Amino acid sequence: MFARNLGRRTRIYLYDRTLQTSTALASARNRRNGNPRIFPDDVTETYATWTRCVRVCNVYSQNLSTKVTTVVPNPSNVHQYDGSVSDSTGNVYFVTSGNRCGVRVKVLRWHIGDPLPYTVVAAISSGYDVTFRTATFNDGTNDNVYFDRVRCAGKFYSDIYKVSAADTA
Amino acid sequence: MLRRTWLVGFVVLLTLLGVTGTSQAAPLTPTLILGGSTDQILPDANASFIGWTQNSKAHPRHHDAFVQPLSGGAPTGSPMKLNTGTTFGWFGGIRPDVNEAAYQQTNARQTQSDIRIVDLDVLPLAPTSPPGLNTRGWEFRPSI
Repeated sequence: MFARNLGRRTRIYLYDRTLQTSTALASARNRRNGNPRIFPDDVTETYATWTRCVRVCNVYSQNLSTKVTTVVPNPSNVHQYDGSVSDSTGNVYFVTSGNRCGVRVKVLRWHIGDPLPYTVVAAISSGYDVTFRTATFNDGTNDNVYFDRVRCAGKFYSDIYKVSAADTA
Repeated sequence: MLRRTWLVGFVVLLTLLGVTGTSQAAPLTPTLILGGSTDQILPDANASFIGWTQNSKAHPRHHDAFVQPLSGGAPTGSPMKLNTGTTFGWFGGIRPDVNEAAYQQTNARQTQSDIRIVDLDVLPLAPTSPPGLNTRGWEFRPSI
């Protein structure tokens, strides 16, 4: 999966390595400065996830077999972004936050299709945020979630963290 | 006091009803995997490798894509840079079952951006351009 910025729009594509063809999954108009409002997050054998930001950011997940796209429920209408999925458990991991960098940042878990509530996998210290990505790797037993964490001050350095056995929180 | 008691009760009720959207299970503590006084961003990993994007103190606006072997979940050995020469590299993703990674590579002027795929088990690394994928447009943020 990848994105292509077309100037006015950005489209997310699924690339078939056998057929060598690309299929559009989603798209959104860019901001006035040309920056995208939509970003590919993660692809697995079963799911493709992406984040689309209009008034708030939301995480979308498409079952690649059924072509059914699901938006991760967002009852509080807050920013939800940087999703990743584990095929083994059917869990999607994503980030939620307030309107500013480093405000009420949490890594959450939702089993696709289940009713709420979410599970808080990790709370990020105040003044820190997730920079660009969560990435989930199932080691055969548990989901392990990697993410980049930025300090919302100073030189805005980012480091890489891992939540081991994130499905056990 | 009465008001506070009422408020606490209301929040507990909302939580029980799932209206706040999150359950109260004990969160886990993240572990630092890669750090330092530069940027480490855009991670992905499988059992054998971790990949990420990093700049340097000397060139904070220049980013390169790296992979490094994992041993017991910790990076070991030397990082291997994926993008070539003076290009910029942005790590994309790594397959969970095979040591194969995708990343974004832009030219030094950052006027052209393409996707590359690389087999991490074949040294020296020999990234390839997926047939029919890259155009004159700006391809970015690959996942595999």
